[in-house]
Amino acid sequence: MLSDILFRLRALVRGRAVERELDEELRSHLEHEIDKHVRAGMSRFDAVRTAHLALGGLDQVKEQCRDVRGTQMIESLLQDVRYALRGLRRSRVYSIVIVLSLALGIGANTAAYSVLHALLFRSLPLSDADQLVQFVTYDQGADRHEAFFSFRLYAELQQALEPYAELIALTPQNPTRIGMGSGETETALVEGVTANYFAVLRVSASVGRVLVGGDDEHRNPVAVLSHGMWQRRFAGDPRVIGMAVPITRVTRWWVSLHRTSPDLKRTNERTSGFPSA
Amino acid sequence: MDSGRLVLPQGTLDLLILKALGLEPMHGWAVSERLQQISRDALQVGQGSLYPALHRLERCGWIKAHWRMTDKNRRAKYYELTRAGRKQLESATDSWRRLAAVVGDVLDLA
Repeated sequence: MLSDILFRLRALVRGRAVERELDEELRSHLEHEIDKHVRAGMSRFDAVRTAHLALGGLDQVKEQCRDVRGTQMIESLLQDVRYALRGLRRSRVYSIVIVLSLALGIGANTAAYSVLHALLFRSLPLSDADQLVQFVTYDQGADRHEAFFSFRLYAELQQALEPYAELIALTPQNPTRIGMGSGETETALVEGVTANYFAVLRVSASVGRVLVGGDDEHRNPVAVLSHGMWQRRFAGDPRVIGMAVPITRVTRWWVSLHRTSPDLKRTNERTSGFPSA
Repeated sequence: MDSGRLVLPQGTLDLLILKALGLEPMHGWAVSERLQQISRDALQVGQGSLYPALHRLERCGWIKAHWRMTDKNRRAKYYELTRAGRKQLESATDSWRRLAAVVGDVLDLA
């Protein structure tokens, strides 16, 4: 089997050399044959003719030898590819249009399926992600779904579901200006969550702590910094814990119940908590 | 069929080539000459079918080829039997003998 593979591989990779060898081999055969006839007293002209007749069509023999090589399929495929490329080079505008439309088509498909994948198929990077559900309200009159709940409704739902499930609530992510100390501010996505958010999603902090019960009582609000921003803005300095961060007050305190935050990946990177004064 | 020469049954050419190369390494033309000589011209070995057969046997690993100068100082592609080729020659000879014997028996009986 190995000899077979080597033989075919050589024929494929060194195709030209193999062709030359075949040429030379058949030529050498003809020379020997012609010599034989000449020695037997034939004229050179007749000898050449007889030798060629005995061998049969040179091209036919070569073709049969190529068939034996077992690379015929790949070779003719390569030939077709070369032919196609030549054609494409000849009519450039046409080729460019084809390539572009293919690129657009493939790109659009890929984009559509990536979104679909992210939305429907990829499970969240959480343990028991399939246990998470999102609550929505349905307005029958307007035939409309909404994911906004009053905090009171949230509290009631939580109470009602207590034996079976835990309920978390979060606000939409809002770009918010945050004080960074020394008068600097930066805009970041801020999301208000209930104190049980991290416990329910089983996400822990790499430094400091995540939110715990009682953190959502407004007397002493605290924030959890995403790992990405911790690295980017604070170079991973653990001393940010305990730093005061003036956060422009989130105006909307309607509470939404999401299956999860759309940007959970960020939150799921390690987080570090730091209470604000 | 011209002049009473036998046309080789399918597959027997391989066996004859292996047999010829079993005597000594030689190039394609010499193989065809040898086969003509041994068979006392009774066989019609198409020179054209010789080369595809040689290449097929090489691919099977039964013979291997290398270029060498002939005694007339020409470059030629010499073939020689490999160890696997020698084994193949033995088993193919054996099967051929058995086949010929069985076919002969059947023909005699009938």
